[in-house]
Amino acid sequence: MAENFVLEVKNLKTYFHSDNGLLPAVDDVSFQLKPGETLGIVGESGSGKSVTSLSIMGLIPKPPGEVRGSIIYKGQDIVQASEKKLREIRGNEIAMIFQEPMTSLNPVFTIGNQMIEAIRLHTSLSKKEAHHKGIEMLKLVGIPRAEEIMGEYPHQLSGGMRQRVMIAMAMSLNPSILIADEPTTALDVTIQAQILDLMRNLKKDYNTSILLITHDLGVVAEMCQRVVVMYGGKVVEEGDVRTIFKEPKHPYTIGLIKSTPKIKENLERLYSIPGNVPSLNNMPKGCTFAPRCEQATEICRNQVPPLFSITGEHKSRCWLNEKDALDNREGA
Amino acid sequence: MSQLQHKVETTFATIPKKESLWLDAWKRLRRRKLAMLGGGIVLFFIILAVLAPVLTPYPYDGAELSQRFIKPMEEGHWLGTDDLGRDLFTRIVYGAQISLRVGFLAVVGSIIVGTYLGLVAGYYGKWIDMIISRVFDIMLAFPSILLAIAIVTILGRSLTNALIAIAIINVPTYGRLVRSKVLSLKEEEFIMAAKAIGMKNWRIIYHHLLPNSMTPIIVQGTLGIATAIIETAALGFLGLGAVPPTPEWGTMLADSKDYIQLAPWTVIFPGLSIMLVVLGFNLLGDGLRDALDPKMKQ
Repeated sequence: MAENFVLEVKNLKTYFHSDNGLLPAVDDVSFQLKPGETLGIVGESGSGKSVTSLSIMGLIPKPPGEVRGSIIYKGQDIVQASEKKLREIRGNEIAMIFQEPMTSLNPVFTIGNQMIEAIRLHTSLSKKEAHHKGIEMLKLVGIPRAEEIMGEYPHQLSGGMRQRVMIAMAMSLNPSILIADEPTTALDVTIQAQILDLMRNLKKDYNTSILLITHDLGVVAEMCQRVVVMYGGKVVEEGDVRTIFKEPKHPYTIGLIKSTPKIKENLERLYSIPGNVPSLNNMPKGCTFAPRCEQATEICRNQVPPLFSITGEHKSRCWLNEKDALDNREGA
Repeated sequence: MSQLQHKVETTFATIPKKESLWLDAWKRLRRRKLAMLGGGIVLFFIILAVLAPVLTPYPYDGAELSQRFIKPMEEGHWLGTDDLGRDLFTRIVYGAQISLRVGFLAVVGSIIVGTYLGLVAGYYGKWIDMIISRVFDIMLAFPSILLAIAIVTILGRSLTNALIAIAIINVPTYGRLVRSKVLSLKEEEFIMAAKAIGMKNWRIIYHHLLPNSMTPIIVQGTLGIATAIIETAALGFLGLGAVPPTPEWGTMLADSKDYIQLAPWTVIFPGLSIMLVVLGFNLLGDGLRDALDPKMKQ
């Protein structure tokens, strides 16, 4: 593939050393992010999606963490990069917004203070210029009274406003990648829609690639072009958003989609996948999803399935898809 | 974009409250009568100390043997005179200068060193934390006054050395306080966010961790001044602090203790001064803790 990627994650393995041995939080994950694309990483809590994003930022505490594999950004492997190099990339090239806007701003400084600090960290703007830039960014993310907000403290703002501030801060340096780790989970539904709207608009204006980490399939359907479904630290299905929603192949993805409420159907009870995500120190021998899978067979329980290529970019890690994909299987 | 902006403008009701954290805290402090009483006492002694030369015509070290043991309110001596005929009021007023200065400087010293060590230990963890924390543990294993005596014995008797000793023995108090605060702050998302915008470690420490740890330090520091004043007096009383004729309250107590029956005022007034100042700082500190405690805010 001679395609141009902004970010290429290859065989990423993030392990944590613990008293129970090595825990594979992210186990051999690969995906690519194209310029201007929104890629969704979907999975339950504990599926390794947040660890993946922190690995990309180089924010995994080491020890106990250990990151192997490669993350290639602009032709450079940032797993191997020095802390200094990483600091230049962070914020400037790859920015991140977090799940909990209530706590992701420092409570003792004003919004302006923190915006200016973030801007000046990577540019040579003067305080005054940075101040203007800050106001401009706040206006861009739809914050009213931007000048006044610059002088206010985080506790004076609502959650939605704070998330806007975080987005303004992240976008002020014009990064090529924005990692959004469950950006709307902690917000009201109406505010969620506004924040997603805002991110979509910014993406268009700035041509930023977004890595959207979420457990909300509704958000994925609305925002993403491609989806990576993670389960137990592994990619279980990957593909174009339409394909994933129309013809999901992996039983886990099918279960996830079945468990989202739909307007047309009026079911008494919403479907739920039985069981829980396996804990890291007690991973099943074969397919990680086998214990919860209704269609699991002998081979599922004993052998880890490879990621089968089904059509083009659509891949699924399930033995059931072996027949569909025997010819073009990859990465056994 | 402008459509969106308009939507937002109409959706978000703006929050009217607009006050700085400190103004807010001051307002809450003002409502606490005991804290204000404590603050009043402290302020009273500060004024005494500052205006000492104006308030009294006598020198604090001028012995006048013909004037020994004059009772309070007699012959122009408000609080009487001591065994060497020195005006007690004068000595107490100058003593306030010493006690406040030593208490304040010792606490500032402990805070600077303790905060720094606490920040480093809490933020970096691992072996640095191990070493710093164990040293703190060892220091806290000794009764503090014993440790102070040992340090003064090594350094030699003087007010400055007493100050240094008191500063040293109180370092672990602040160090531990800051360390524990940093350990909890470190897990906060805004620290992760600061790292995610590429901030350097020292910048995170000084810009994010330090300001957020200030509240407990201020409270502990205010209470700590009281402790430091008592410790200065204790060292003085034991003959390890200020050297006569320095009018240090503890030393004054020690010098007058033999005349407790003959001239009780020579003991009562220095003792009362120590008690009052300590009480003042303790009341103020307690009030500050309540006023600055974010949990009380709601």
